[in-house]
Amino acid sequence: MLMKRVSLVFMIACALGLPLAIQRVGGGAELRPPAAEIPGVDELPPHLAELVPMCLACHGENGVPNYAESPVIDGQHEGYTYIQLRDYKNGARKHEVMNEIVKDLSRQELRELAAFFAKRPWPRLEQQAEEGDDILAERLASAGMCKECHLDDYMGESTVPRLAGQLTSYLVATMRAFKTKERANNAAMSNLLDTYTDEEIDALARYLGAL
Amino acid sequence: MKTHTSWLAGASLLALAASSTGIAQAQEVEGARKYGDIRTVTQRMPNAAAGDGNNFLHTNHNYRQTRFYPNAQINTANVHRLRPAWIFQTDVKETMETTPIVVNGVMYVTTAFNHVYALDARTGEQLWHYKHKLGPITVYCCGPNNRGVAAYGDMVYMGTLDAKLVALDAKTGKLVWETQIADPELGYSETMAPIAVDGKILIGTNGGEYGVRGFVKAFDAKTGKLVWTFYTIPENSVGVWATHDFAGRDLKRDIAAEKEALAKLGDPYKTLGGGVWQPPAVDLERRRIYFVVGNPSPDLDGSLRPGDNLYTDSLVAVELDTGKYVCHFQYIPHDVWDLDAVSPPILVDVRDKDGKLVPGVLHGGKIGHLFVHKRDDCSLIRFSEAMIPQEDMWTLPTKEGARMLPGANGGVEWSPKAVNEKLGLVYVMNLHQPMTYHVESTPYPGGKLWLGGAFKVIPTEEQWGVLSAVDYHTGKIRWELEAERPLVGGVLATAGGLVFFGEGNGRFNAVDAATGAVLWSFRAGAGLNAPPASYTVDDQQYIVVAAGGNTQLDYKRGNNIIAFSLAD
Repeated sequence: MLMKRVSLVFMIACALGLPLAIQRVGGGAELRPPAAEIPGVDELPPHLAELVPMCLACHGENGVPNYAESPVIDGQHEGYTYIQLRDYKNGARKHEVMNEIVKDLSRQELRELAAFFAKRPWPRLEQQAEEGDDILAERLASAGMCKECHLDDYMGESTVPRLAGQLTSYLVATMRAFKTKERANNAAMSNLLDTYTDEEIDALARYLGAL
Repeated sequence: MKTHTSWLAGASLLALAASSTGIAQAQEVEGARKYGDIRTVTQRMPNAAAGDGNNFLHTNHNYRQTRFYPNAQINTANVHRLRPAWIFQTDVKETMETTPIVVNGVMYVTTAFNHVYALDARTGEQLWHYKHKLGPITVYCCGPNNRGVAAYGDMVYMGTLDAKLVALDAKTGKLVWETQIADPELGYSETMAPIAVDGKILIGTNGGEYGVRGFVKAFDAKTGKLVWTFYTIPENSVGVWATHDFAGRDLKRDIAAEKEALAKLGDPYKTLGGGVWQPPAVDLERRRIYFVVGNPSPDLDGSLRPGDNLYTDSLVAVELDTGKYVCHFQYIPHDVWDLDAVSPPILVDVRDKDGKLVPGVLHGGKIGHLFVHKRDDCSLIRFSEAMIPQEDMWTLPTKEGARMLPGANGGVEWSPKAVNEKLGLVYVMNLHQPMTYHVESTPYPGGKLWLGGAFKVIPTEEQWGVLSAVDYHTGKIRWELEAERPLVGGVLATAGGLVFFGEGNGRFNAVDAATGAVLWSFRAGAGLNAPPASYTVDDQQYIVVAAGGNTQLDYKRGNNIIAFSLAD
């Protein structure tokens, strides 16, 4: 029942061009591989395993997101992914499709999904920064004390996300969304990013995406 | 016998649960070959630690936390011959704030992410390695730090980032029991070293940036069962509506608006923060402990937390045996700058205002003063000259950002101080890091970072550090030594007339305790931001320190424990 409803929402979202369809970044690969073919999926209970192909449709079968505003979730820290799923469930983070997908999942199920994706390898996106981004970004990050939470090399840990090598277009979108409070599930990030210009955010995103 | 409960078991686990041997398999322990010379730490040993010229039994050396090591083999005359005796490399190249503990020739050190190593203190040879299996949810400020273990009986104890207290077999590193102290998903975590006294393990909590309700807890050393809890935030946290600080400076509070907020919101005690980042000092004679309590939550936004926010930003004393409140002194009522109290207090005799020697307490605050208290009632006897620049105090934070000095990292951060009682000097690490304070009110986010705004370092302004030697009988600065980068890490004083401290650029220094003259330096190659210790084995005195850099100030990371002794 859950699957049917979520699938329906997903298909409608795609058809309506909701956030999923902003911009394809991946190739034309099959969007929804059969669940049984996904490595490690058999460790999940069947009803969660059935959800995974839908996740990969946006977040990428090989970890490379298919859409510009879909983050890399393969290899992301379990604690962070769990907190985001929890926030989608309780509405603290808003996204029509994600809110719907997780709304009937239990804490335990969210944890299991987060753990599943954490075990998958982080993909190499081969993104490039622009000349001068590194100097500017390090100065901006130093002023904001970014490494105090995201740690050395921006690799994050537990509930703090890895930023290094994240999809640049997603970083731009989510940092700008923090700034405008469209993304409202971390006030400290909103307050900090409010002190940066859009151009500075773009440079930071390019720098982090290229790491 | 209790069972292991994992986070997957759900919120019920969040109630305190002690578990035991079943978990041992879930942890990783390597080695444990050599342990013939480890002896039990009986209560007699820490009681006499201040005069123990062999061991280093407590992260701040002894219950009074003087960090004064009473062996003079390494001294002002021969310190120029100090050379590395051995280097041990841990498996974790991340921030290091650990103080090595040494018990009868065995050293215990910790790393970021809660590894513990037992080493042969003569050679640096690894005896065992314990890696705590962290749960997936950890929420902490300022880096995945750990500041060391407590050694007691046949066990060593460590607080963990996922808010557990673990007890390890000192001979093997195997887990004996673990206790969930509080819920990490709500922002609780542990980085401080616990302390052990009279069969109890005492530990506070981090979380002042996450809307926790701070505490100090005592656990039974043998079983991990909770003995008592002292909440650092009382249910009535309002206080006396203080309008000025200890120096008579106007705090610029809008008391009428706060009273209105109190009527509307009620007492904010449940999410008011008040972490305890460093171990208490223990007064065995009075059966009391003295500790300092950190900032209120949210850090920069006072509008949601009317009142003085007791006992944040305070020195607090409670009864050792029961955890019952004794006295407190609040440095900054209703702090909106995160200029709190974190460096561990020291118990020494001090001259009162009439020149009479009385039992005292010393604390160095982020605001940049050394505070001298009367131990009986926590009252303030004096505060020192400012050790770092103070400008435009107390300018309130604004949405656009208001500059005020000191910046939110201090002054004196968590760095432990050291004293030389003969000289009447306390050695205090300070940093100068100008920041702007930005405020924006947001509701309690349920265990997430809750600053109520933002701190921003001003990139165009110079930053530096200073080691200050303060005469605690007068409050005057006797000498000071400027460092090229902000100082954080801690200080050790020794009977050899020396003071040891490290710098973010990797330099480790020995200076003359009386004059501040630099007598010896060593380049460690990574930030040296951990408190040094000293010990003596086979008649050879060593100085030991971790060189692992620092997350908070982004100093170059490393993974070395370096022990020094005199070259022939």
